Amino acid sequence: MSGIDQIVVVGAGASGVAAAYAAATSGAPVILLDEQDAPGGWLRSSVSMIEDAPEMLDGKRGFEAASYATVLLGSSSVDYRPGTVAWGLFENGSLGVVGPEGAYQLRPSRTILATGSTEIVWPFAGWTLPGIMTARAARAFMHLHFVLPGRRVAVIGQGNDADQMAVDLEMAGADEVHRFASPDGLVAEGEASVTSIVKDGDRTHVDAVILALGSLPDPELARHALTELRYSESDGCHVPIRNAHMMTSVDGVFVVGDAGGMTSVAEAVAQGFVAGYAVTRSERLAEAIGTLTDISRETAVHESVGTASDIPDDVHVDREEQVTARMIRDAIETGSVSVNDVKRKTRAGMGVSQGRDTEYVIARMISEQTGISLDQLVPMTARPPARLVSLAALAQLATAVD
Amino acid sequence: MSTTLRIESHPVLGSNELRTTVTITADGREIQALVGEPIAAALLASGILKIRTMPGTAAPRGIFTGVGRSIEELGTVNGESNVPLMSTPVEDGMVIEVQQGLGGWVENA
Repeated sequence: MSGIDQIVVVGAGASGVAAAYAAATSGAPVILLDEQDAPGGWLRSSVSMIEDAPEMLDGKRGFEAASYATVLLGSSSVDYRPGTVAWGLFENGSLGVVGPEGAYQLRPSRTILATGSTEIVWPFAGWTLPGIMTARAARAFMHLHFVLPGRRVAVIGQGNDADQMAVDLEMAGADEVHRFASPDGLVAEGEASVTSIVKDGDRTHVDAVILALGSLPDPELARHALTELRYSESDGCHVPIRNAHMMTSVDGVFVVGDAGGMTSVAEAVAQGFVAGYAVTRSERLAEAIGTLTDISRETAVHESVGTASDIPDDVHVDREEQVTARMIRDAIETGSVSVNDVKRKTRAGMGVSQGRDTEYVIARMISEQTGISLDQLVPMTARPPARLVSLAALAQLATAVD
Repeated sequence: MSTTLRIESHPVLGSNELRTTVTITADGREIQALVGEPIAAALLASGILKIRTMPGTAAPRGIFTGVGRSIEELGTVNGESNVPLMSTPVEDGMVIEVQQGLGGWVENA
């Protein structure tokens, strides 16, 4: 049974916790869904001081802020559901959910999406070898599970993310950290896992390689609901258009935090409060809107992430579907001029990760090859499920709906 | 057995709260693991990075994004295929195998 005024928040990062907390102050029933087993989002596995922190988090490290989120939720009436995945947002406003108690549907009157960001990845020769991972995977291993990704580690990237990664690795006790500014021209070698990385003929022996290229907004559920999008230059991708209340073009669907465009923690929290007060029509809304600052958090140096024309022909651009750069180039050559066209022709982006990683790369390949600017490219159509969902869970849902 | 990748003491975080060590079998050898840690973390700590091969190409894969959104992070645990290794906690006596392609079927009893 869903209450008429039920509010659902998806994502328990800084912004989602703020939104759920603010909405609950009105007494409305608020459900907060999060796929992780504790709140905080990316802050959970961050050991650095938060830059541009809101007052309540001033001087705190990321993981300390995450602990604070746990306290805040505990003191509220929010129905917080960890380990719970929202995998689809449908036209009628219902959410497909899978949690520890099984599969179910929610029919909120208003939905706040605080789904955060996803990491930028970029193909290079040998990049699918085990031992090559993203910065978030490495931070999860080090900071949540106390395991180093390797002893001799290569870090690829030149933005804040890569700088922080090098610091994190040294703090955790890695023996060697080798920096590479960009994936262009790199060759990873190894049999069962990566053993060396070659650049301009120079071979460096490594046992781990970390891609730290920055992050992209991840408004996938908003895209399910067909919210109108705009191209954001600083984010390097399309993001939902929102009004001053953080509502998208779809009535009752709100987007806050990084999902709406990479932003500071302070701004993510401020947006959360705005949406939380907006959905409950709180008298504190106007005051909350006054705290919005529009500070963006540029995690990626998009111009230098990688050069599309430098991706070797035989490299799998889509790691899951194992679609090579050559196959994509041929598709573009023969008239595929959107990410959707390339997807239909090559299967790139059809894997269970739903093309979130590959869209960024394919868009740049199309743009370089055809001269169509990135802002003119039609973004890829997002379809459920946004996360891995078992058929058993869906079968259970079908029974529940009857 | 090598546990060299374990961080015994982190300057900011201190040490792991998990303490109970058990033995699991991974890729045919016995390794030490902590009850409750993700299987992928236990494998990495013992230097095991390859968790599966891909259908068709048999290319090796390991943990990449660590968020469990990709088939690359699924392995075979106690004979069951397609188990997410980044989110499934270690239990005593588990047998982890490198998943070959799509993996096999287990008939329900």
